[in-house]
Amino acid sequence: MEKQNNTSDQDTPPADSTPKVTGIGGIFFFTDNPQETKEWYSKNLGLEINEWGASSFDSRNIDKPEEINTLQWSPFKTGSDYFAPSKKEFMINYRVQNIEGLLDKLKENGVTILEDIVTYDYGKFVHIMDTQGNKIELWEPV
Amino acid sequence: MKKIILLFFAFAVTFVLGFAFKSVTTKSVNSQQSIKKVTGIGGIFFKCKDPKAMRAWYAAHLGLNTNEYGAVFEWRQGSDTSKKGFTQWSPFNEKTRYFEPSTKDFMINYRIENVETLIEELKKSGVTVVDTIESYEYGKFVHILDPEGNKIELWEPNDIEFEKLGEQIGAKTTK
Repeated sequence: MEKQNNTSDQDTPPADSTPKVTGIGGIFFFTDNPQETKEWYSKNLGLEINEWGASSFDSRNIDKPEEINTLQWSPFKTGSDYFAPSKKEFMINYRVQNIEGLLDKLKENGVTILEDIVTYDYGKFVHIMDTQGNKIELWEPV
Repeated sequence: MKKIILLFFAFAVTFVLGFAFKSVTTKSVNSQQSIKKVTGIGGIFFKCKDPKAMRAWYAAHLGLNTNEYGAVFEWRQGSDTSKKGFTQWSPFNEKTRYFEPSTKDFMINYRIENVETLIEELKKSGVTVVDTIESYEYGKFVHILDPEGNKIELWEPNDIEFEKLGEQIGAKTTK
C-alpha cells in the first residue's frame, strides 16, 4: 500500500493514483531458437538468464528510490500465442499505476481490451490493443 | 658445441617466457570478460504506419509524456540511486532505414559500459558489427547484429548530458 503523506513524512510526495503508465516493465520478442538466442545474449552481452528463461533488469523509482522496479527481457518462440491477436514480432509490457482506474478510462475511450484483469503474486495484468495492431501488456506490480 | 647449447638454452628461455607472458595477457582478457556488459534497456523502437498518431494515442490513453521523438522514461540506477537512467521509447515510420539491415519491426537499445572494450570482444567472437562507434555528448553508439538478424543498438550513455538535451527541447519525462 502507498504510504499516506502527512506532517511527519514531509519528504514523501503525496500518493499519486493517476491511472497511467510509469515505465517499461518488459520487452518480449520472437526468435526461431529461444535457447540459442538466450545463450548468445548471455555470452556476448553478459545478460544473466534466470530460471524462467528471462533476464531481469533492476532500476529504482525516480521519486521513491526505495522502490525497486524490474524490466523483464524475454525471447519467445516465433509464432507464440502470447502475442496474438497481434501479428508483430515483439510485445511491450508497460508498468502502470491504478490498473483498475486505467482500464475504466480505456473502456470509456473505446480502446480494445482483450480480457479481464488477472491477479498473480507478482502483480495484476491485462492486455489491450493499441491503435495500430500492437498488443500491449499492462502490469501493475505488487 | 657450447655455443649451440647456449643458443638452444636462450631459445628455450625465450619460448617459456613467451608462454608466461601470453598467459598473463590472456588472464587479463579473461578478467575483462567478467565485467558487466549490458546494464539495462536504453530504448525500444518499433515500426508503425503513423508515428505521430501513435505518439498521440499513447499520450491520450496511457499517459506517456511524448515529444516529437517519442517518450523518455526516467528512473534511478539500481546500483547507485544517486544516478538517473533513461529509456527512450520511439515509434518509427515503417519505411525507416534505421533498423537496416534488420527487416524486423522492432529494435532494442541496450545500455552498456566500456563500449570500446566490448566491441573488441564482440569482433573477436565473430559478431557482426554494423558500423563504427559514434560519439555524441549524450553517449557513444554502435550497432551490431544478433544471430537471427536483429539489429541491436549499443549505447554507453552520458545520462547527465542526455537529461540536459531533454530539458533543452522542453521535453517532460514519463515516470
